[in-house]
Amino acid sequence: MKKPPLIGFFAAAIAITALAAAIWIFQNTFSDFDSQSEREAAFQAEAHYGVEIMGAPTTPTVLTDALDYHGRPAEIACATCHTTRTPAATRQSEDLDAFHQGLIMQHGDLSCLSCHNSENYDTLKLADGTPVGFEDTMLLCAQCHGPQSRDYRNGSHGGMVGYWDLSRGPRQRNACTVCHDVHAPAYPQLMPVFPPRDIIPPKDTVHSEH
Amino acid sequence: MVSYPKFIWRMCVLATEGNWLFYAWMIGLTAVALVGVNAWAVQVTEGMGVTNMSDHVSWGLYIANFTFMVGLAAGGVMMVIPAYLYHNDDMHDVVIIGELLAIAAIFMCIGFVVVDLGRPDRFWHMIPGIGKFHFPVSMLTWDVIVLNGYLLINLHICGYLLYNRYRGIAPNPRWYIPFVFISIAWAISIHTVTAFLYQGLGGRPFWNTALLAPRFLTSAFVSGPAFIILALEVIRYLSKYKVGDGAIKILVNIMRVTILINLLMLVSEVFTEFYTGGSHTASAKYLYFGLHGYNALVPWIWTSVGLTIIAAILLLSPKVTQKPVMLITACVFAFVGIWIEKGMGLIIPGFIPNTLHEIVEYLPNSLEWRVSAGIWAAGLIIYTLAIRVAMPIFSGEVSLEKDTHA
Amino acid sequence: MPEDNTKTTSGISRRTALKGVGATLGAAAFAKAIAPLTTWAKDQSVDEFLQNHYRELTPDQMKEVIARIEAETKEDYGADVTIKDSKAQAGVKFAYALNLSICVGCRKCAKACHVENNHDRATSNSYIRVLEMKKGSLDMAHGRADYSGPVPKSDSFYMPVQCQQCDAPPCVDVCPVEATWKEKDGIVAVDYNWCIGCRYCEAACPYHARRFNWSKPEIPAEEVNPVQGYLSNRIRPQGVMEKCTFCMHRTREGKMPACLEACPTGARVFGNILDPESEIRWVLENKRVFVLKEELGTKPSFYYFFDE
Repeated sequence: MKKPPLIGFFAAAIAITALAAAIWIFQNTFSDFDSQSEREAAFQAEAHYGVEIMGAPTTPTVLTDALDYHGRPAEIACATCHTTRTPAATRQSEDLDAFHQGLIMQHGDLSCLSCHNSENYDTLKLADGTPVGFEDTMLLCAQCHGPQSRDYRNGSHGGMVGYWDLSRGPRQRNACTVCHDVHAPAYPQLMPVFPPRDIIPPKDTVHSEH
Repeated sequence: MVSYPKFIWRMCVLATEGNWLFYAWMIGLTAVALVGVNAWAVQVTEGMGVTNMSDHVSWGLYIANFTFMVGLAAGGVMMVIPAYLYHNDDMHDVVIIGELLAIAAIFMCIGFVVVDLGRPDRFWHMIPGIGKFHFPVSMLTWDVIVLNGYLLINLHICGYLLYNRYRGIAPNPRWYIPFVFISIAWAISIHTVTAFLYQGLGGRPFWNTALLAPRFLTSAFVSGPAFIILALEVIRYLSKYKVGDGAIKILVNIMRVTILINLLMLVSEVFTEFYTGGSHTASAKYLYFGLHGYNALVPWIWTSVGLTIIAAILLLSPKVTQKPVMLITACVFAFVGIWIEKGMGLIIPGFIPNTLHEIVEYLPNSLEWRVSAGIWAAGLIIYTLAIRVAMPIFSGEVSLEKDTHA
Repeated sequence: MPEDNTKTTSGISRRTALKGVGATLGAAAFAKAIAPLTTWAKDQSVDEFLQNHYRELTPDQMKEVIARIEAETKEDYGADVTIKDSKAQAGVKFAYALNLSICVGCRKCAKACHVENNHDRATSNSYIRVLEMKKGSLDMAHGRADYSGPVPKSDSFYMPVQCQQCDAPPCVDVCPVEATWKEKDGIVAVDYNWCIGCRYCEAACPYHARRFNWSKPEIPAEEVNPVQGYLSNRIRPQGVMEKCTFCMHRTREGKMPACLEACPTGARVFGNILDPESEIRWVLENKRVFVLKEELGTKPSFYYFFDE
């Protein structure tokens, strides 16, 4: 039998090397991907920690300048006056002669009774008149500000502190009213942190400030 | 092989001998080099914050010089093509000057890279096997390979030829001719790879152009021959070795073509940038005309353009090879013009405006100038010593036979 | 040519003697010139010099390295710190989104990053750079990072930029020693003890995300954040690169990054993009998101969106 030519031997060696290289490349390229089962296992989270809403309003009281026995200003419930007196028919707080003069009202075209319940001033009311407690203030916000409320519930509005992974720890969020004053909700301007202090070249070269 | 140690010893002794001009030159260079070493030591100790570089312009004078020196190293081999490919006898004896320039230039490149590293003590991290060498993805690794390879090739060629000339033996073509041809192709590769370092960065539109590698090559083939002509003139006028006109004429002819191609490519770049407009051309605007009141580099680039044009006009004149003053002026202008264009005129504008379109300017401070001057001085020391050793051997003045009978 | 001038009695020529004196003077001058390096060399340890790449350290070696770094931090900065080496979790790939309608440009995120990541106080370095952009244009050439005065201004919107943890990161490609790489959970990490400081990655990054330690960071002991990670916020040595790590030492424990917690308006959304119930997934599926410099093909993991 004739001996196979040398070139056949080399061709076979090259082909085997190429195949081995291809397998090695394939394995190294895809070795970083998790297997499907690994990923699914990660989602079988056991205990879920909760999301706590901080700063939700409570039924407010008005502070008077009278002091109680302990030296603290006396607090009276809204109903104390609002069941015994007739509220002034005005939206301008400057026209009032007792209480609420300092209240700045800048909430679009809303009137006081858009949210406050004239039948029980210790509650608020939804658009259809249903009374709700002050703890549910966020419901009222959501009535008109649906997109923001939806964003808030889905985490893209209002911020959070704590854990992104609720299987490992809890999270705290702010109620709407923590950032937005209910009567003048526009987010205020603030002074920013100082600008970046880039490495300033020394005096014998050009400065970088405008 | 018995004579190899004698050869090395003879080289060392020969390298330290010369006339008063030689000693003055070498002592002056040594002083500058030591100033540079001290400045670098301060830089390593206190951190690179003592330079004027910042997170906005994070490469400066060192990398500018590095880029230029890679071109000089590549251009040094320009004499090799006519000498070996076309058997031009005029070139044959002086081609070693170009190859020695390549060696000195590569040492300077390594020097500039080392002084630019934040952690030069971690140099070993780049050694394949012991460290982690990110080949073939990182272009810097390609650059390390081609630059060191080029150095080794040229060291071998020069060493082999010098050693055999010293011994009075005709060199065996098999041991150097293949390397010479490799070095021609390799010279093209070193500068192409260096261009690819910048060319591949999508975030830096000033560099992200296909024309960068060809521009690098043509400017290398202007600066290389310019420096060699200057070296030949120095040898001709300051030493007793005869240098024929033939080599210089060929180099001038090379420069006549390459300097014009270089200017043409510059025009091409400038047209593309300014005709298209848009925010990707902000770097070019900053370089040539200033941007929003920042114009630190404008005088530099226009000086470079002016020098290159004057050099081109001088070189094109038929009288340039007969008038040494004209020739030397043309070569010095071309050299300086290319240095600015490739160094400060290429690296710095790539960073201004930065990737967030902010302008933070950069001009080197005195420490960077000192370190760079030190490396230039060290390179010139190496080159002077190399020529000091090579010329006597090639002219037959120093040989093993003469030494054994002395 | 060597000439023997007046010979001295010992047989050395004057020329050789002069050469010897010159060489000695040169050596002395060299030693003086290089003297600053001796103070620098005292700070270096042999262990750190010989340390292997992060990915090749055995767990025992890692413990030794961490112990050494904790001791060095105590010595250099006077602060007791704990350094953790948290690993990427399976099934997690981080993504970050930024609501440009809500960001007011207060830079509290940049400040929080500065504090959390133990940045050099003198330069007030931060991985986050907030740009004040003109409404109606997304061109950063019309933006500025050095704005001041009450924010938000009515004609501007604010765009914080930090490391985008790209899926095709140019910085990883160009590093000659593989000192930076992309981890399994998407974070592009840097081994500060491997980086040689060539700053090629800083040139390559299109988002100005990489920072270099131009000097040794200086932080007063009481301001050092003692909860540190090996690959993230431990105090970096001089001469190496660093970058935003999505607060790896926090997020790998399930916590929010510091910039998100500092944001007063909630413009930042962070989470695991592989979790279909996460907030970041909701944003990517319901908001019109975009990325910066998409045409460069870097595939960022950092998304921007407007509410309307």
